[in-house]
Amino acid sequence: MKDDNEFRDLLREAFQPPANAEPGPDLWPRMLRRLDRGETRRPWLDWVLAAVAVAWMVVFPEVIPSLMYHL
Amino acid sequence: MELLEQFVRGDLDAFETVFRQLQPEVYRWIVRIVRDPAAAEDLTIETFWRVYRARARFDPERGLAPWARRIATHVAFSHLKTARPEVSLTRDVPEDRAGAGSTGEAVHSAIRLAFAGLPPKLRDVAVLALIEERPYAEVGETLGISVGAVKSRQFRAVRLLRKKLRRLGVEP
Repeated sequence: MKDDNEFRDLLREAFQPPANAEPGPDLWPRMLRRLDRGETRRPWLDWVLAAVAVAWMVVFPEVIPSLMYHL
Repeated sequence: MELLEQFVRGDLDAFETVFRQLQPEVYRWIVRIVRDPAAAEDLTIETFWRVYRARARFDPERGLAPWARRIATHVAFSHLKTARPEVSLTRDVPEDRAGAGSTGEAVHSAIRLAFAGLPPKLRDVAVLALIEERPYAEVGETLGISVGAVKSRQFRAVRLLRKKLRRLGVEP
């Protein structure tokens, strides 16, 4: 097992910048397209979780204040 | 400061200025983690999208660059976790490269994977204190935690990294 200093050196070596690390093209036009597109589609699991949360609040309305507090 | 205030208000010109100032640094940081220039470009865009979307939560007192860097770190390591791992199992690390003193690319890949598996709170500290070698006080200020918490999280991060590396067949 390496001592702490050797281990830290090893960690730093793993994150050395690779050659040719400069961004080639201007990324601003792509950024503008991303802004136009807005939010990406939510994964289906997010919708399932949202539905479960709503159903939970309908069945147990007493949890709503607690949920609001944590949000 | 005026530029940052305009950015927080959603001014697109201010965002473009911020983007052009920080893009090289953010890109270079992401490519250091993911080692893939094409993916790093996509992840740079994703980082700035999140920066723009969360601009209302930005605290100008803490500086935009460290904040963007933290978001980039999360985006890059999330990508590493979901992308096909370069090193996934013990058998992928050749025995002669995995032992003490080894610094081969397979070992480095295993280290990056192990980092990706750290809890975000520990990873943020490990990146700043261990990789970037920033002083504890600066790390604490950047993350909004005490120096004691920085030291504690760094200690836990190192312990967890060693454990994860052993699981990947690398004797740390």
